[in-house]
Amino acid sequence: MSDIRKRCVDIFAKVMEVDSATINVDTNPGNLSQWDSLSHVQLLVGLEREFSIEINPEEGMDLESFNLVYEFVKEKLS
Amino acid sequence: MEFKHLDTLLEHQPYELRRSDKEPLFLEAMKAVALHHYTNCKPYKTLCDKRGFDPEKFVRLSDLPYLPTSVFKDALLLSIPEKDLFREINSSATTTGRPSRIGLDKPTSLRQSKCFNRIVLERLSNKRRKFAVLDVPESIKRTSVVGARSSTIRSLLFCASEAHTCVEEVDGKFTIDEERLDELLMQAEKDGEQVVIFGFTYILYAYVVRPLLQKSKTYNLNGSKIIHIGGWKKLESEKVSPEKLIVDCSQVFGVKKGDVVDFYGFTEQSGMVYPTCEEVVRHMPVWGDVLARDPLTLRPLPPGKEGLLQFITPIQTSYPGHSVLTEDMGYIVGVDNCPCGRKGTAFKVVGRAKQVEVRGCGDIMAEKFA
Amino acid sequence: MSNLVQVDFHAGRTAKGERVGVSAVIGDLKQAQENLKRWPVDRIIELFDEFGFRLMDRRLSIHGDYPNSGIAYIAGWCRKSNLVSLLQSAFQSRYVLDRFVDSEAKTDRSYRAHSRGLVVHWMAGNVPTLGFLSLIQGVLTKNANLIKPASGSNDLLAQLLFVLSTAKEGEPQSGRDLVKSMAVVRYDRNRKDIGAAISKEADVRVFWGGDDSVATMRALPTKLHTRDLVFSNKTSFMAIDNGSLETMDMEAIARRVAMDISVFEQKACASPHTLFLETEDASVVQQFALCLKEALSRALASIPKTIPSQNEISAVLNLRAQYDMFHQAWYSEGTEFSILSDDYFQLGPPIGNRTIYLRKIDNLQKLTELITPQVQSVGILAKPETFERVTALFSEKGVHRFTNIGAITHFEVPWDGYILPQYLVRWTSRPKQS
Repeated sequence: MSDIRKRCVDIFAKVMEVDSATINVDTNPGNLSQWDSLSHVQLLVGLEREFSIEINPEEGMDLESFNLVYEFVKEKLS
Repeated sequence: MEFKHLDTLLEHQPYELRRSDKEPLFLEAMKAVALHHYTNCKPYKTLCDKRGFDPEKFVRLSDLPYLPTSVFKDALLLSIPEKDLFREINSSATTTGRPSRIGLDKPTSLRQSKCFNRIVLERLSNKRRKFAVLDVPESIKRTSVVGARSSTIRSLLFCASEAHTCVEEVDGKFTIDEERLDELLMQAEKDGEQVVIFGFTYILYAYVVRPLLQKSKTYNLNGSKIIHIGGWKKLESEKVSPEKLIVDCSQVFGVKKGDVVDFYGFTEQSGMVYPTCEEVVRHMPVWGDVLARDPLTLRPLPPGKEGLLQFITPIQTSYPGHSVLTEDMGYIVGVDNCPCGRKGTAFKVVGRAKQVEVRGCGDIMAEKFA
Repeated sequence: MSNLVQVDFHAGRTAKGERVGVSAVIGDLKQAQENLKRWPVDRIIELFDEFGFRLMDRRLSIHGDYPNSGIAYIAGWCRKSNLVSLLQSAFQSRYVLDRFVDSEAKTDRSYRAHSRGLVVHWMAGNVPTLGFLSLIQGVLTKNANLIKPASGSNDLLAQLLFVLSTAKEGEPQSGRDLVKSMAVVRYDRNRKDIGAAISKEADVRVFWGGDDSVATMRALPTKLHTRDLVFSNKTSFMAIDNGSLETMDMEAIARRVAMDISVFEQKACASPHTLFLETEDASVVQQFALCLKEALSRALASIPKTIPSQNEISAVLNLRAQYDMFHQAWYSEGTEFSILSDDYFQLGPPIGNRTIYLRKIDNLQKLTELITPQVQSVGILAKPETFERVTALFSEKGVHRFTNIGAITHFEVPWDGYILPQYLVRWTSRPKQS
């Protein structure tokens, strides 16, 4: 697993308080009950701090699955 | 138009059938009437089709689409040609200021009157009695203009031997003609006569019962009936509960608690009236049924759970008022098991939901459409 | 009659229902503000950033006690990056709040923005997050702040201030010190004397919603220089042009529309009540309605339903029956949400409770006719040319704000045409020192 991906998974696991193994490309609020509005904000803050990036509210709105988060972070860092 | 099943249903005494005996008859009657409305009222048909409802195939009463009472405020819905329209009744304007419009043909009007009268007699007993009406003289006079209040009062007078009013309107305010009332009641007490005292709930309590209590004035009218109809909102805000009203009326007039009767009904299903029984619970006659629906999920609720009341009855055939959802909250108490002896569904009406309206900063106008 | 107000928050702590004299409350606020105005603005931002972070802790009882109240939104909004960008867009340099800063435009002048003193926020509507966002701007500009929440509203504001008071505990210029400059009070609106006592001390009065009550409160006496800001009840709508209808991912857009409709149960001024599709094809409306129905169902999981009021249930059931009889409707099994479609050329009428009117129109430009001073925001999805044309036309007519679909309820500055922080300061200028 790439370094960025692993770091994303770790943030997810920490914020949602689940095992890293349960996080995959399709993970989204529909299939992960711990992913509610509060954990979404925690997720954004965690990503900003981990990768030293800024995520504005509209960008944050579009991060609707793990895969979208991962692709977004990769793009921000490139 | 013939409604065989409906006629069969109406041949029974109001509360004589157990649910198991009533259900098949009732369902057949409802199917026939639902089909009639489906065939003859285009907007109703459109609604049924959109909701996937087939009037010939439904098996559960809860599958019957319901119209909220408010829908009758915005459209005159008819299942008869307009030329057959015999009478249009309007409800009293409510919080929204828009009255309901109900169109009746002769058969429906007759059927509604008959059903109403049968329930009233069953509760008051089959005798003509002297009525003391706690309202103004105009309420019992024959005039061409019939307001909703007078209409209700007059519909009760079929079982009156005489009717006397004892309220005056002075400068737009109601005052009880205390002398007149005292005269009537003292005479009845002296003659050992069983009378009916009738008034709107608030007038009865605030203008008659409470003042008499405060003066410690009582009568002994054993066997008489105290009947009242109308909203509880004002009394609730004055902390007078239904139980208190019964106790106080019983004390003031010297009648049994079971002889203080609260009538409940609504314009959208005129003819259907639900007096409280001796156990202070209301009963559905064989020609009607009731469901309580959860305000959020709209699913039917089991007995004991409060929800929006839906009333189902086949007696109106001129307009699709056979399945109506009211704005009143209530709950099913039980079926076939009331200690008063009446069979059928027993229920209670609690009143409108007491939530405080939460206002945001958006320009909302829900109450104009409620 | 004594001038006592019921206090939710005062003197740095929650005070459920305590009665305190108005002059005592205002005296305490002014004293605390004398202190606050010397703080560096970055310290205040730091405290809010920490507050936001603390607020994200799911274990805080505030989440369980006030579900669906937008607390997560506040937590996100208070982040340093957001507050810095808010102040930068209002003042170019946020340090004008701390000291004189050389002007970039006028090479010989320096400017400083001082606090005005006491800002009073009157909230007529019950959207507590709005009260808090209004408050934050008053605090960032180093004013004392007094909030009168809507009557009958809960005490969420006071609870949020409590969490704020725990930021940077033990340090100088802590959250505990900060909140001493804030108070949340209630009083009977018929007590004009109390209203007047508060109003006379205000340097800025901010009114949120409730046009009737705003008019009454504005009539209260004030100081000569007091500044009023009115954010009255508003309505909002959305529009999608034909170009976008052809190319867009309908399901994705429907999901965003569903979010905009569901947040705050549509009670915010920015909540949209009508969506116009630029098409003459009824089947497109039908197709979109079905997508939207699915999206609104899904949104119930992430934005749980608040039980509607009797009036709302009544209105929704009435409209559903009418639309089933005479127009088109799609809705949830319960009273959760409703999509109503007709051929009327109008906005709303707004009902709330996730009720959206879906209408087609042959040309979005025609909607200019529907724009009144009551319209606040327009969520828009359009190809560049239409976007330019329509935003120019609508904004000229009075629309304050355009957003992408899905973002319409995001609070931002300017709001209702005002850059609020600019009204909360008093500018001074001096010659530039070399």
